[in-house]
Amino acid sequence: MKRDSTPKPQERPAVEWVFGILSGCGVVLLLAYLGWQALFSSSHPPELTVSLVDIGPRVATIEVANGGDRAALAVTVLAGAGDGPPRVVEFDHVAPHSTRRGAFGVPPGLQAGDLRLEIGGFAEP
Amino acid sequence: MRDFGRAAGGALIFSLPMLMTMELWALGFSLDRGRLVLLMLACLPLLVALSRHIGFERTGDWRSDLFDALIALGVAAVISVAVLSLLGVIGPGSAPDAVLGKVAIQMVPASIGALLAKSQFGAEAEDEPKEETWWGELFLMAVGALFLGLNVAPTEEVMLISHQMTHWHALALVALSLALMHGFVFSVGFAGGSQISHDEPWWCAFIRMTLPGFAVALGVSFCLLWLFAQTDGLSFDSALMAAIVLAFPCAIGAAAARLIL
Repeated sequence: MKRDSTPKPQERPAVEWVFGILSGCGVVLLLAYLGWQALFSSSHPPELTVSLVDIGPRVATIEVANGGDRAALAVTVLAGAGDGPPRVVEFDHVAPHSTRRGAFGVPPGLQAGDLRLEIGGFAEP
Repeated sequence: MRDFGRAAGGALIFSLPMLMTMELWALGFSLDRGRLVLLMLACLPLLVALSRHIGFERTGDWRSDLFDALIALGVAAVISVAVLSLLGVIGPGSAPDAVLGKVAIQMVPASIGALLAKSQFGAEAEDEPKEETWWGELFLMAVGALFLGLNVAPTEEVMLISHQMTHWHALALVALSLALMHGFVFSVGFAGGSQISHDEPWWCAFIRMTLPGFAVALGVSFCLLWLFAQTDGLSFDSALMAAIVLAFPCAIGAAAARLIL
């Protein structure tokens, strides 16, 4: 690996040092952010809410939001209308402070007010 | 003809794990078409630059590099269609849009593999070594990061791992990525490592190569996650954690670029 013909440190082009120092500043910022989060961020369990985004003639789109500080896995949403059994939509994961969307089929003519949406359950990673 | 054979072999070796990954099949029809076009557009200059640095033949000008890049894309398309058809992923019953998406997304890693064929198959030694530049080293690091990152980025495991990790884990992973990157190329002394003179202290190489290399790996990691729609709907913190997870294999790929490319 070591070759005598290579330039000495003081002979390296300035751009290498500038780019290296800028990258170093970025890495320090990254480490500082992670350190701050590790020391001072809260760790609330997942707080899941489900809302209706859109309802079409055949498909309803829903959005699950996680307001907690930890991820939720295998999130199930129960979507019911009328007296029939609820439909189950499963999201494999919802990251903390993030949202995910999904959809399920609805009978023609169903109105938004006829839908009942609730979180069925989830697992922690 | 032998170059075509090598290119096909390189494409197969590089892209086979991705051709057999179900997340990539799904991305073929679910990925936003704007991102797919962007992926293809970004691929072409990457291939041209790769042809200049490695390529499956020594080229004299940029026009030859562009020609080789287009050949690599063609070979990649043929390999992708052949393997996906053989595996039953695409067939006469598949929607044309889905077939196009599945093949297009696989063409990117396969075309990189086609251009890397020479190094992968240990072609005969070159008559004269190419001149190494710092920018060239960084470019090869980016390709090395892509080499490993493309295999992992579309999988659900990246997200699952990032959910399991705390910020302490992320701190340790960044430190380990940096240490391994530096160790791989500059301390262990693998053949083909970046040039360091005898009197160059370790911190000098760390600033010049390892830190920019990690920045490149983290950048590649972010880009791949975004392109594969893994960051959609995520908060900044969650996206950063996922990028740090993917940056680990990307950093190893970047550091070992000279060994694996």
